[in-house]
Amino acid sequence: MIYKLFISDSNTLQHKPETGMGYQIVEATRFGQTGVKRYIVYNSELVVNLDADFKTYKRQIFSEGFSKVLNRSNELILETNSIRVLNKAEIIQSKALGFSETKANKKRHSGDKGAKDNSQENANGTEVFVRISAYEDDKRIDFGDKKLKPGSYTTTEKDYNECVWTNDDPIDRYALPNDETIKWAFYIKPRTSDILQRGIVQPAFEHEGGGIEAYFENGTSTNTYFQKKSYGK
Amino acid sequence: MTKKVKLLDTQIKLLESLPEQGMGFQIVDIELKNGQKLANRIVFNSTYLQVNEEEFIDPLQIELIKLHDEKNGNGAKKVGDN
Repeated sequence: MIYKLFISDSNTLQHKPETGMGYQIVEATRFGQTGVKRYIVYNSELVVNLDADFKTYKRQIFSEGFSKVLNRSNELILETNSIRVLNKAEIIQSKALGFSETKANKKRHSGDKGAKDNSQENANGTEVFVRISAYEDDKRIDFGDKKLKPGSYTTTEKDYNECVWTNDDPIDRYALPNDETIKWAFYIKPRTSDILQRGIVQPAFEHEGGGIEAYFENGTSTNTYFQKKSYGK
Repeated sequence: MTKKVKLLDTQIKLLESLPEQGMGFQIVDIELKNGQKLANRIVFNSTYLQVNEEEFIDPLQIELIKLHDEKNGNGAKKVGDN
Protein backbone atom coordinates (compact mmCIF):
# COMPACT_ATOMS: atom_id res chain seq x y z
CA MET A 1 0.00 0.00 0.00
CA ILE A 2 0.94 3.62 -0.47
CA TYR A 3 0.25 6.13 2.28
CA LYS A 4 0.73 9.77 3.14
CA LEU A 5 2.60 9.94 6.41
CA PHE A 6 0.88 11.67 9.35
CA ILE A 7 2.33 15.17 9.74
CA SER A 8 3.94 14.68 13.14
CA ASP A 9 5.56 11.42 11.99
CA SER A 10 6.77 13.25 8.90
CA ASN A 11 8.33 15.89 11.13
CA THR A 12 9.96 13.14 13.18
CA LEU A 13 11.52 11.63 10.08
CA GLN A 14 12.76 14.99 8.87
CA HIS A 15 15.01 15.03 11.92
CA LYS A 16 16.38 11.58 11.26
CA PRO A 17 19.08 10.69 8.71
CA GLU A 18 18.26 9.39 5.27
CA THR A 19 18.98 5.81 4.25
CA GLY A 20 19.79 6.98 0.73
CA MET A 21 19.30 10.10 -1.29
CA GLY A 22 15.66 11.13 -0.92
CA TYR A 23 14.43 8.14 1.02
CA GLN A 24 14.42 6.52 4.42
CA ILE A 25 13.82 2.86 5.13
CA VAL A 26 11.89 2.64 8.33
CA GLU A 27 10.73 -0.03 10.74
CA ALA A 28 7.74 1.02 12.80
CA THR A 29 4.45 -0.04 14.35
CA ARG A 30 1.19 1.45 13.14
CA PHE A 31 -0.69 3.51 15.68
CA GLY A 32 -3.00 1.30 17.72
CA GLN A 33 -1.58 -1.92 16.31
CA THR A 34 1.07 -4.41 17.23
CA GLY A 35 3.88 -5.80 15.12
CA VAL A 36 6.64 -4.00 13.28
CA LYS A 37 6.53 -3.43 9.55
CA ARG A 38 9.13 -2.12 7.19
CA TYR A 39 8.43 0.85 4.94
CA ILE A 40 10.26 3.03 2.48
CA VAL A 41 9.48 6.71 2.96
CA TYR A 42 10.17 9.16 0.15
CA ASN A 43 10.81 12.78 1.02
CA SER A 44 9.73 12.00 4.62
CA GLU A 45 6.08 11.94 3.52
CA LEU A 46 5.15 9.28 0.96
CA VAL A 47 5.17 5.81 2.48
CA VAL A 48 5.24 2.48 0.68
CA ASN A 49 5.08 -0.93 2.34
CA LEU A 50 8.25 -2.87 1.69
CA ASP A 51 6.53 -6.10 0.81
CA ALA A 52 6.06 -8.33 -2.21
CA ASP A 53 4.03 -5.65 -3.99
CA PHE A 54 6.58 -2.90 -3.51
CA LYS A 55 7.69 -2.82 -7.13
CA THR A 56 4.11 -2.45 -8.33
CA TYR A 57 3.59 0.53 -6.04
CA LYS A 58 6.91 2.06 -7.05
CA ARG A 59 5.98 1.87 -10.72
CA GLN A 60 2.65 3.46 -9.87
CA ILE A 61 4.44 6.39 -8.25
CA PHE A 62 6.76 6.81 -11.22
CA SER A 63 3.96 6.62 -13.76
CA GLU A 64 1.42 8.82 -11.98
CA GLY A 65 3.79 11.23 -10.30
CA PHE A 66 4.78 11.78 -6.69
CA SER A 67 2.38 14.66 -5.90
CA LYS A 68 -0.66 13.04 -7.47
CA VAL A 69 -0.16 9.80 -5.57
CA LEU A 70 0.59 11.66 -2.35
CA ASN A 71 -2.56 13.76 -2.59
CA ARG A 72 -4.89 10.81 -2.95
CA SER A 73 -3.23 8.46 -0.47
CA ASN A 74 -4.71 7.56 2.89
CA GLU A 75 -2.92 8.76 5.97
CA LEU A 76 -0.63 6.47 7.89
CA ILE A 77 -0.10 7.12 11.58
CA LEU A 78 2.81 5.44 13.32
CA GLU A 79 3.64 4.91 16.96
CA THR A 80 6.19 7.69 17.16
CA ASN A 81 8.39 5.90 19.65
CA SER A 82 8.55 2.82 17.46
CA ILE A 83 10.04 4.60 14.43
CA ARG A 84 13.51 3.39 13.58
CA VAL A 85 15.36 4.45 10.44
CA LEU A 86 17.62 1.76 9.04
CA ASN A 87 21.03 2.60 7.70
CA LYS A 88 22.57 1.18 4.54
CA ALA A 89 24.65 -1.41 6.36
CA GLU A 90 21.51 -2.88 7.91
CA ILE A 91 19.81 -2.96 4.52
CA ILE A 92 22.72 -4.73 2.89
CA GLN A 93 22.82 -7.23 5.76
CA SER A 94 19.12 -7.95 5.53
CA LYS A 95 19.34 -8.21 1.76
CA ALA A 96 22.11 -10.73 2.15
CA LEU A 97 19.93 -12.73 4.50
CA GLY A 98 16.97 -12.36 2.18
CA PHE A 99 19.01 -13.54 -0.74
CA SER A 100 19.01 -17.10 0.45
CA GLU A 101 15.28 -17.02 1.06
CA THR A 102 13.91 -15.09 -1.88
CA LYS A 103 16.56 -14.94 -4.58
CA ALA A 104 18.06 -18.37 -4.46
CA ASN A 105 15.15 -19.82 -6.37
CA LYS A 106 15.74 -17.16 -9.01
CA LYS A 107 19.31 -18.43 -9.37
CA ARG A 108 20.79 -15.02 -8.72
CA HIS A 109 24.51 -14.79 -8.08
CA SER A 110 26.42 -13.05 -5.35
CA GLY A 111 29.80 -11.38 -5.55
CA ASP A 112 31.24 -7.94 -5.48
CA LYS A 113 32.88 -7.82 -8.89
CA GLY A 114 31.20 -6.54 -11.99
CA ALA A 115 32.42 -7.47 -15.46
CA LYS A 116 34.90 -4.61 -15.70
CA ASP A 117 36.45 -5.60 -12.36
CA ASN A 118 37.52 -8.94 -13.78
CA SER A 119 40.26 -9.84 -16.18
CA GLN A 120 39.73 -10.44 -19.87
CA GLU A 121 39.13 -13.87 -21.32
CA ASN A 122 38.71 -15.22 -24.80
CA ALA A 123 35.35 -16.59 -25.79
CA ASN A 124 35.37 -20.36 -26.22
CA GLY A 125 33.62 -20.24 -29.57
CA THR A 126 30.58 -22.19 -28.43
CA GLU A 127 29.15 -20.16 -25.55
CA VAL A 128 26.19 -18.00 -26.49
CA PHE A 129 25.52 -14.58 -25.04
CA VAL A 130 22.23 -12.71 -24.97
CA ARG A 131 21.50 -9.04 -24.97
CA ILE A 132 18.07 -8.00 -23.74
CA SER A 133 16.46 -4.75 -24.77
CA ALA A 134 13.25 -2.78 -24.79
CA TYR A 135 14.10 -1.78 -28.34
CA GLU A 136 13.92 -3.90 -31.46
CA ASP A 137 16.47 -1.63 -33.15
CA ASP A 138 19.02 -2.14 -30.40
CA LYS A 139 21.87 0.21 -31.20
CA ARG A 140 24.60 -2.04 -29.89
CA ILE A 141 23.91 -4.69 -32.49
CA ASP A 142 25.52 -4.08 -35.87
CA PHE A 143 22.80 -5.66 -37.97
CA GLY A 144 24.79 -5.13 -41.17
CA ASP A 145 27.93 -6.96 -40.14
CA LYS A 146 25.99 -9.15 -37.67
CA LYS A 147 28.12 -8.43 -34.65
CA LEU A 148 28.16 -6.71 -31.30
CA LYS A 149 29.53 -3.18 -31.32
CA PRO A 150 32.50 -2.26 -29.11
CA GLY A 151 31.77 -1.36 -25.50
CA SER A 152 28.60 -3.43 -25.17
CA TYR A 153 27.15 -5.49 -22.34
CA THR A 154 25.37 -8.83 -22.60
CA THR A 155 24.50 -11.66 -20.30
CA THR A 156 25.15 -15.34 -20.85
CA GLU A 157 22.47 -17.46 -22.48
CA LYS A 158 22.52 -19.62 -19.35
CA ASP A 159 21.79 -16.68 -17.06
CA TYR A 160 19.19 -15.31 -19.45
CA ASN A 161 17.43 -18.67 -19.47
CA GLU A 162 17.51 -18.82 -15.68
CA CYS A 163 16.01 -15.35 -15.58
CA VAL A 164 13.21 -16.44 -17.90
CA TRP A 165 12.58 -19.89 -16.45
CA THR A 166 12.42 -18.64 -12.87
CA ASN A 167 10.13 -15.81 -13.95
CA ASP A 168 12.64 -13.36 -12.54
CA ASP A 169 12.44 -9.62 -13.13
CA PRO A 170 15.14 -8.73 -15.70
CA ILE A 171 15.08 -5.04 -14.71
CA ASP A 172 16.05 -5.99 -11.16
CA ARG A 173 18.35 -8.87 -12.05
CA TYR A 174 20.41 -6.75 -14.44
CA ALA A 175 19.96 -3.52 -12.40
CA LEU A 176 18.67 -1.50 -15.33
CA PRO A 177 17.74 2.14 -14.76
CA ASN A 178 14.53 2.02 -16.78
CA ASP A 179 11.22 0.46 -15.95
CA GLU A 180 10.41 -0.18 -19.59
CA THR A 181 9.34 -3.65 -20.52
CA ILE A 182 12.08 -5.81 -21.93
CA LYS A 183 10.75 -7.09 -25.22
CA TRP A 184 13.68 -8.45 -27.19
CA ALA A 185 16.56 -10.86 -26.85
CA PHE A 186 19.52 -10.76 -29.24
CA TYR A 187 21.74 -13.82 -29.49
CA ILE A 188 25.49 -13.63 -30.11
CA LYS A 189 28.02 -16.45 -30.40
CA PRO A 190 31.49 -14.87 -30.24
CA ARG A 191 34.51 -16.46 -31.87
CA THR A 192 37.55 -17.62 -29.93
CA SER A 193 39.35 -14.45 -30.97
CA ASP A 194 36.72 -12.31 -29.27
CA ILE A 195 37.55 -11.02 -25.82
CA LEU A 196 35.16 -10.44 -22.95
CA GLN A 197 35.05 -9.72 -19.25
CA ARG A 198 32.39 -11.35 -17.09
CA GLY A 199 31.10 -10.60 -13.62
CA ILE A 200 28.09 -10.19 -11.40
CA VAL A 201 25.71 -7.29 -11.95
CA GLN A 202 26.15 -5.02 -8.95
CA PRO A 203 23.25 -3.29 -7.17
CA ALA A 204 22.32 -0.01 -8.85
CA PHE A 205 19.31 2.20 -9.50
CA GLU A 206 17.59 0.65 -6.46
CA HIS A 207 17.81 -2.77 -8.07
CA GLU A 208 19.58 -5.76 -6.60
CA GLY A 209 21.44 -7.10 -9.60
CA GLY A 210 22.84 -10.59 -9.24
CA GLY A 211 22.64 -11.54 -12.90
CA ILE A 212 25.70 -12.38 -14.95
CA GLU A 213 27.08 -9.63 -17.14
CA ALA A 214 29.63 -9.93 -19.92
CA TYR A 215 31.33 -6.87 -21.34
CA PHE A 216 32.86 -6.84 -24.82
CA GLU A 217 35.21 -3.90 -24.93
CA ASN A 218 36.03 -4.49 -28.59
CA GLY A 219 32.68 -5.95 -29.60
CA THR A 220 32.57 -9.26 -31.45
CA SER A 221 33.61 -10.54 -34.86
CA THR A 222 31.52 -10.28 -38.00
CA ASN A 223 28.66 -12.79 -38.28
CA THR A 224 28.53 -13.57 -34.57
CA TYR A 225 25.05 -12.08 -34.06
CA PHE A 226 22.68 -14.74 -35.29
CA GLN A 227 19.20 -14.40 -33.84
CA LYS A 228 16.57 -12.05 -32.48
CA LYS A 229 13.67 -13.38 -30.43
CA SER A 230 10.89 -11.91 -28.35
CA TYR A 231 11.92 -11.85 -24.70
CA GLY A 232 11.21 -15.16 -23.00
CA LYS A 233 10.38 -17.04 -26.21
CA MET B 1 8.45 11.80 -13.03
CA THR B 2 10.67 11.52 -16.03
CA LYS B 3 10.22 11.65 -19.76
CA LYS B 4 12.40 10.79 -22.71
CA VAL B 5 13.73 13.09 -25.41
CA LYS B 6 14.81 11.56 -28.69
CA LEU B 7 18.25 12.75 -29.68
CA LEU B 8 19.28 13.83 -33.17
CA ASP B 9 20.70 11.29 -35.59
CA THR B 10 24.20 12.77 -35.28
CA GLN B 11 24.00 12.49 -31.51
CA ILE B 12 22.70 8.93 -31.71
CA LYS B 13 25.56 7.98 -34.05
CA LEU B 14 28.04 9.53 -31.66
CA LEU B 15 26.69 7.57 -28.70
CA GLU B 16 26.59 4.35 -30.71
CA SER B 17 30.35 4.71 -31.07
CA LEU B 18 30.88 5.05 -27.32
CA PRO B 19 30.75 2.26 -24.74
CA GLU B 20 27.81 1.45 -22.50
CA GLN B 21 27.80 1.60 -18.72
CA GLY B 22 25.28 -1.22 -18.49
CA MET B 23 23.11 -3.29 -20.79
CA GLY B 24 21.17 -0.81 -22.90
CA PHE B 25 22.12 2.47 -21.32
CA GLN B 26 24.82 5.11 -21.13
CA ILE B 27 25.35 7.74 -18.48
CA VAL B 28 26.36 11.05 -19.99
CA ASP B 29 27.15 14.65 -19.20
CA ILE B 30 25.67 17.19 -21.56
CA GLU B 31 26.51 20.79 -22.22
CA LEU B 32 23.97 23.02 -23.93
CA LYS B 33 24.81 25.87 -26.27
CA ASN B 34 23.67 28.35 -23.61
CA GLY B 35 26.29 26.97 -21.22
CA GLN B 36 23.88 24.96 -19.07
CA LYS B 37 25.28 21.63 -17.96
CA LEU B 38 23.32 18.46 -17.35
CA ALA B 39 25.35 15.93 -15.44
CA ASN B 40 24.91 12.23 -14.92
CA ARG B 41 22.00 11.73 -17.30
CA ILE B 42 20.84 8.40 -18.66
CA VAL B 43 20.46 7.69 -22.37
CA PHE B 44 18.64 4.52 -23.40
CA ASN B 45 19.59 2.65 -26.54
CA SER B 46 21.93 5.52 -27.49
CA THR B 47 18.75 7.31 -28.51
CA TYR B 48 16.50 8.48 -25.69
CA LEU B 49 17.71 10.99 -23.11
CA GLN B 50 15.88 10.71 -19.82
CA VAL B 51 14.96 14.12 -18.40
CA ASN B 52 12.80 15.32 -15.58
CA GLU B 53 9.16 15.98 -16.41
CA GLU B 54 9.51 19.71 -15.86
CA GLU B 55 12.64 20.06 -18.00
CA PHE B 56 12.53 21.16 -21.60
CA ILE B 57 15.58 20.00 -23.51
CA ASP B 58 15.86 20.72 -27.20
CA PRO B 59 18.38 18.31 -28.77
CA LEU B 60 19.29 21.06 -31.24
CA GLN B 61 20.68 23.03 -28.32
CA ILE B 62 23.10 20.31 -27.26
CA GLU B 63 26.68 21.42 -27.78
CA LEU B 64 28.57 18.55 -26.18
CA ILE B 65 27.85 15.01 -25.07
CA LYS B 66 30.38 12.97 -23.19
CA LEU B 67 30.25 9.79 -21.19
CA HIS B 68 30.10 10.26 -17.46
CA ASP B 69 33.42 8.50 -16.95
CA GLU B 70 35.59 10.62 -14.73
CA LYS B 71 38.27 7.96 -14.34
CA ASN B 72 39.41 8.03 -17.94
CA GLY B 73 37.69 11.02 -19.43
CA ASN B 74 36.80 8.78 -22.35
CA GLY B 75 34.19 9.73 -24.83
CA ALA B 76 34.33 13.51 -24.66
CA LYS B 77 33.27 14.51 -28.13
CA LYS B 78 31.44 17.38 -29.68
CA VAL B 79 28.39 16.45 -31.65
CA GLY B 80 29.45 16.17 -35.26
CA ASP B 81 33.07 15.30 -34.47
CA ASN B 82 32.69 11.83 -35.89
